[in-house]
Amino acid sequence: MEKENWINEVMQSTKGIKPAEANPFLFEKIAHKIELNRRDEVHAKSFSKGWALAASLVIVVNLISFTYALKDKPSNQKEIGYQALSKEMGLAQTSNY
Amino acid sequence: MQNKPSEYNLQQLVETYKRLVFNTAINFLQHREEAEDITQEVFIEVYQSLSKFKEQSTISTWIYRITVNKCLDHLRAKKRQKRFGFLTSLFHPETGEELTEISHFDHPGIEIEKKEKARFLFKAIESLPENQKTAFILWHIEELPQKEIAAIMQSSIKAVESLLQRAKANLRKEMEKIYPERRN
Repeated sequence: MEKENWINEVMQSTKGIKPAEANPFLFEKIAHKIELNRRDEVHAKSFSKGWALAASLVIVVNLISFTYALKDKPSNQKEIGYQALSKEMGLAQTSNY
Repeated sequence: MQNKPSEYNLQQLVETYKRLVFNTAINFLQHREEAEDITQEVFIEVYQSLSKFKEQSTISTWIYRITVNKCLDHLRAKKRQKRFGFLTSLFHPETGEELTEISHFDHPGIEIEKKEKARFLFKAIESLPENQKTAFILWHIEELPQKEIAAIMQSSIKAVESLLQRAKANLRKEMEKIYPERRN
């Protein structure tokens, strides 16, 4: 019986509970956190923009060098062809004397 | 009359709902500082997702739901931390000093003569499964109608009734275990 009474009293102990008051600077704290989040986002965006710019620069440089390499190729081939022809016809200089 | 969500600015939101959010958080977390952190997180989420709010429920129900979910997430994370960081939790991370058990929660809004008994109740609430705990806190401490609790928990009134019955039965069992402690 005593136990039952005690349990009932415990169960009813939060009746008439008064609301707890939040921190008086709650709004300022939240506004500050939102501002920090916004700044982090801006940083993250500019960081990824930087990476994108660097990556596209590398791609452009590669493309340019590839194009130049392609342009060079025919003249090289021609030279190889001439060398082969001159060797075949005995025109090539094989010794230094 | 309630404002439309789109008509709120941040300050209005905080002023209107800070009591609701903070008190729900403190009842779940039983820790003032943690409740303040969660309150801030809730308002940031509410403010950032106001445009996504579809007005299928009232704004207070929606805010309650966000608060409850954040509190449950926080409690889950704390439980995980306790389970996996048992050894590290015994010592202070910076000073290396041994940590002592934190004294149990005293709700600031409870009358002095009821404080000791309320401490036992909060201790017993901690042992409830998540959904029973949610239903019990919202009904018994927040004193919300079962219809609103059902809306917050996205379930039926019958389901809430059943959760409350089971919660009360489990709390009684828990208090029977605690009963000898109070005599010492």
